[in-house]
Amino acid sequence: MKGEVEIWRGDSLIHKESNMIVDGAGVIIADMMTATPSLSGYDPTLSSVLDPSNYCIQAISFGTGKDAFTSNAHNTGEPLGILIQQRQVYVWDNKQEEALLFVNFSAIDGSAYIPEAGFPEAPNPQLTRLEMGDTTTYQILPSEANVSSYFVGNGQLVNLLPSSIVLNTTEITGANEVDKKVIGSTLGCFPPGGVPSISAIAIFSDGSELSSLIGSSTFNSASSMDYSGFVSFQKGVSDPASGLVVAPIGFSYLSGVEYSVELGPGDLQCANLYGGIYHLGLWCLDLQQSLRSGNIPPYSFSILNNPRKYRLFAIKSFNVDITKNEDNGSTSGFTNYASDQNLLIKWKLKFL
Amino acid sequence: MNFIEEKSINGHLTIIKKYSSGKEEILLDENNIIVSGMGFALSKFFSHNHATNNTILDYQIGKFQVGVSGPPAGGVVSSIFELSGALSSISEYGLGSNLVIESLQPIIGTGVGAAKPFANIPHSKITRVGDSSVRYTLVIDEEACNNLTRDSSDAYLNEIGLFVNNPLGSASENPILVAYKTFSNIYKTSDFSLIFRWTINF
Repeated sequence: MKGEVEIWRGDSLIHKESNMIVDGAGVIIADMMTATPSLSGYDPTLSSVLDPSNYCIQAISFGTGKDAFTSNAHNTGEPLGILIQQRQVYVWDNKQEEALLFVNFSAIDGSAYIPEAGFPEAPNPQLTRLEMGDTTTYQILPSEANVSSYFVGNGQLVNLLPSSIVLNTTEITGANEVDKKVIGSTLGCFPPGGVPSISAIAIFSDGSELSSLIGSSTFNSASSMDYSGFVSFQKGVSDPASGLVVAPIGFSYLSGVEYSVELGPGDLQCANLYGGIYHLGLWCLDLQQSLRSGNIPPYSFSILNNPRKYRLFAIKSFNVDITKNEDNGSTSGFTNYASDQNLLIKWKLKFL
Repeated sequence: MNFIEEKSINGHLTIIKKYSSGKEEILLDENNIIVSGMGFALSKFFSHNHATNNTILDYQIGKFQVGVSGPPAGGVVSSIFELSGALSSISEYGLGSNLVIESLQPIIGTGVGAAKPFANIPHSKITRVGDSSVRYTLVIDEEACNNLTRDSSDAYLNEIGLFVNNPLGSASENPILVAYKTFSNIYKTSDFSLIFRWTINF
C-alpha cells in the first residue's frame, strides 16, 4: 500500500509527495478480514456491523506542531493579559463579531503571518494521531478556570471557534457562556460558515494594528467538520467543497482510489493564525473502539456529539505550513486570502 | 519531510504433509506472491462504491483453489488472475472430503471467466495472529484431491491461490485471486492430508 498527496492552488500544483501509511491501516484491514458473520446473528441490533463503511476511510483532519497549541492565536498573552481582556470586552459588549483572534508578531519579511509551530512530529508508522505530544491549550478564562479543564488536546486542529458549536457541543460542559466563547476563540481553528463574522487583528511590534475579516469556512458551510476537527466523508458526492470525497483512479479499480477535499480561504487564514497546517491525516472508523464505547453501528456523523471513533490510516507531514501566504505588492499577506485561493488536496492510495 | 513510506502486504505459506499416524512433514516454508487482485479488491472496498447488498464478508478472503499446472507459462507475476491449471470439477476436489466446493465465475481482468470449482475457507480456519496478520488454515484432507490425472497421466498438485469472495457484490458471486504460490509437485493420495498454513500480513 502506498499513497501520494497532491495540493493544488487553482491550476497550480504546489506540492506532490508520498505519504506514510501507518500501522493502523494494517490493523483496520485485518479487522475487516476477520469480522465474523456471527456478530450480526448474535444480536439483531448489530446487523449493521457487517456494513463495509464501518471499516472504510471516513475522515480527514489537519494538524500542526505541538508548540503551536500554546502560541499563535491560542495564546492570548499572560493570564488575563491585555489580549484576553480584549476578547472579553468583545464577548461582553456583544459586538457583531463572534470572536476576535489576535496574533502578535514582527513584520520582518512582509506582513504575512508565519505561525510558531516548533518542530512538528516526524512521520512514524506507529503514530496513532497527528501530533503525539501534549497539544492541550492552557489559558486562564474570565472565571479563572483553565481552558485545559474543559478540553484536552487531541493532536489536531479542532473546530470549536463557531459559537454555534462551542455553545452546544456536549464536549464542553460546565462552563458559563462567556467562558465557552473564550474557550472557542482560544482553541480555534476554523471560522463559521455563512456570512463572515470573525475578525483577526495583527498587533505588530511597532504597536500598529491590522484588522482582517476572515472569510467563511468551507467545512462549516457544508457542516462537514465535527467539533474535534474531523472532516467527514461524503458518500455519493463528488464536490470536494462538501467534505471528503472519493473516486476511483482511471477506468478500473486496479489503479487505486483518490480522496479529495477543499479548504476555503477562510479555513486557510484561520488555520494559519492558529499555527498553520503541517500534517494531514486520513482516518478510518475504529469499529472495535466504538463498540467498546457502547456505540453500535450505523454511526451517523454529528458535529456536536460525534459517536464515531477513528483510527489513523495514513499521514502526510510537511516541512512548510501549507496555509502559508505571502504579501502581494502592497497588499498584506495577513489579509490577502483571496476567494479564489482555495487549496485542493488530492490523496491517492494504491493498494498493491 | 519527504518520507516515502509504503506498507507492503505480504504473505507466507507453510505446507505440511500429515499422515493418519500423526506424523508431519514440512514440504514448503516460503513467502507467496500477492497479485493485482488484492489491489483491485481493496481499492473497490475503499472506494465506498459498495453494491446495495455488499457486506464486509464480500471483501474477505474466503475461498481457495489448487491446481496442477503451475507455475504459469508467463512466470509468477503479480498480474495473474487465475491458476494455470485449477482443478476442473467438484469431483476432483473429492466427493467424500470435508471441503465445501461451489462452482463460481472468477473475475479475470475486467470481466469474468468461465465457472470453476472453489473451496470455501470456514471462518473457524481464519485466525488473527497479530495486530495486522491473519492466518488461513486450508486442509486438503485424506479424501480430497486424490489420484488426479491429466491426459491419462498422473497429475501433481503444484499451485494454490487465495481468493476474495465477491468484491463486486454480484448476485452470482465472483471471486478474485489475491495471493498465489507454486510449489514442488505433490501426488496426493489417501495416505495423507495436506495442511496449507497461509499467513497474510496487511
